[in-house]
Amino acid sequence: MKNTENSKIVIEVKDLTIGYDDFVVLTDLNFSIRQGEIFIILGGSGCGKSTVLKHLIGLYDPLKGDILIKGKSMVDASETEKSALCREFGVLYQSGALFSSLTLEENIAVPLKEFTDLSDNVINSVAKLKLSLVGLKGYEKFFPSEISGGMKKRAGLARALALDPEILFFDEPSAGLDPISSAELDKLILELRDTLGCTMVIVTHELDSIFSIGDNVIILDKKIKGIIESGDPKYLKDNSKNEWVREFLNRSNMRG
Amino acid sequence: MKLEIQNSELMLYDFSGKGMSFIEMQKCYDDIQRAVTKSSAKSLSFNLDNIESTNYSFLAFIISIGELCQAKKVRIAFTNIKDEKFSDELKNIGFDLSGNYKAESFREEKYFSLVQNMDKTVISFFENFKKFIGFLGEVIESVFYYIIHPRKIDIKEITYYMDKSGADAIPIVFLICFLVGLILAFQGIVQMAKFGLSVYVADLVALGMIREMGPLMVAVICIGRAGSAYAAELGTMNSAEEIDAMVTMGLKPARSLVLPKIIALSFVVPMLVMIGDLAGVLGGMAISLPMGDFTLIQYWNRTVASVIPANLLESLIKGFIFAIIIAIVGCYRGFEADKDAKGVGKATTSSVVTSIVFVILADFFVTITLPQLLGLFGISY
Repeated sequence: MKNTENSKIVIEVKDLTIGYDDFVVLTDLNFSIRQGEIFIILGGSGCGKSTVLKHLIGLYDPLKGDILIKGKSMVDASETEKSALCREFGVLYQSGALFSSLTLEENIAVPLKEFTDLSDNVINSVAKLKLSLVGLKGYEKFFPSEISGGMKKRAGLARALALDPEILFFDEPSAGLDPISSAELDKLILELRDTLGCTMVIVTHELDSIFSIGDNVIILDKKIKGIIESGDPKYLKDNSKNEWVREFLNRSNMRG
Repeated sequence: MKLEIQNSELMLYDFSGKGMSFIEMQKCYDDIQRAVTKSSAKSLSFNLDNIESTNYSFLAFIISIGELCQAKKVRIAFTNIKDEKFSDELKNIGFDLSGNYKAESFREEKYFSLVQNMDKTVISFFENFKKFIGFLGEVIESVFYYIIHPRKIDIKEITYYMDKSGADAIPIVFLICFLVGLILAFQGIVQMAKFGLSVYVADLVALGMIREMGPLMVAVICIGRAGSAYAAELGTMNSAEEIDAMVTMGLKPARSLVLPKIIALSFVVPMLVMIGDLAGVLGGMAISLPMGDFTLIQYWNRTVASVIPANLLESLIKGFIFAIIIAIVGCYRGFEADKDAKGVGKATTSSVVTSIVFVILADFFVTITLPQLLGLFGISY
């Protein structure tokens, strides 16, 4: 675990109320994420974890409140400003969301081609480097349909890292992976944080991952439509004042 | 199960302890239905003393009996219920203590009222219209972006779609237009022969194909082949979060996904229309020569005499406009698709229907206004 208490705040969420049309999912969320931190968004099924993530990355507009990414508002940003803000972070989607008609190498080249004037040779070399960073050396010419689910996530991570972002968002990275692949992905996330110094925001259910990599956690609750608990997951496991939170976090022990 | 009738009361008892299978259930139900219909019984007594556990088939059986008794106005009484949970379940599925069964308590019918839903329909129409205008704006913005940054145009992507939507469609375009020309000539020659003007079938086929049927048939083929494929492709990308991924990468989906398709189709459709026009004329020729009293040279001369360059221009303009409509509608429907398998299917269907409507509307306007527009440029029509 890394001490990030004195680091500067990179993401700040202020009085955020989110939902769809008239249906409010979560209300008045307030939290901040510091540089270099692995920040976990946790909660029961249907509590709005992924919806929070989609608001943080600017896919949806909130009903109320503001999201500041490195001090700049995501909510009030114009299309051009939003597009520039999006380049500050990378996102790994649950399914990997690789472009199925492109090879892994071409997938990683997409943002590089769009936002840089590098030559094709340089772009190809960078794409190869990014793939080897996530342990996919030799798979450059493979299409997404030719690799396994775990490899797709790694490739998705390589693409998210393409423009060397300072912040990385993960939507349920362990979903659909066996325990070994899941642990390997956790290890990779830690390595990337330590080598690249990225801030990681992870939405997950996987309690083992939370305790092994999480620096800070917020736990969302469907009933109160907000944050029921926040802090260091290891501390909260035994010391949370909320019984449901303790029970939730201690489930990992039951699996032995 | 045993069934007896005592003093206008049907007695049901001796059920097997572990419920019953669906096959047994059907047999028992038939017996009870027969007894209820034939006798004048006003109540039905269900003795459940043997029942220790229930399965779903037994509950389904009880619900069916409940519905039967409700229809025949027969009261039901359950006796000797051993299990409290079962008693609660009976309440949950609609039986009350007085022996009545109310199916409506757990089955809600939704009534559709055109008047009640009018507001929602109107609002959703304008919301969709707003979305479409927004999409169109993004496409136009992308056109200007590529005019300013021509090096960013992905030629590989454009040639890929030109190949898939254009080159691959040549055989089917040729076949369909050949047949349409043939049908047109066959219909025409029979009528024209009555007036001794059968050679003028060449004019009919050439003008009919070039001005109207050629562009329209090619458009229909491209709607089926290209437009629906674009909707399905983008719909699938949408459901696989690929479009979300593009947006969060700061990319403009309209720029990288829509414009190459529009450019590709607007190049190839006019070319396909020319091929279709030629195929139609050949088709007309193929049926007219054996049926009519003229030579190949006479037929060809009539064709050349009847067609002026402005007709070919009309054909090309129509092809170009139809191509833009097909690509935009296909891509828009794909983007708007729900993120599931059903959504992709719906998007594909609606792209075809919407494209056909817009293509025919555009055909109408172009046909009506083009002679005047060309006249403004001094081109006689």
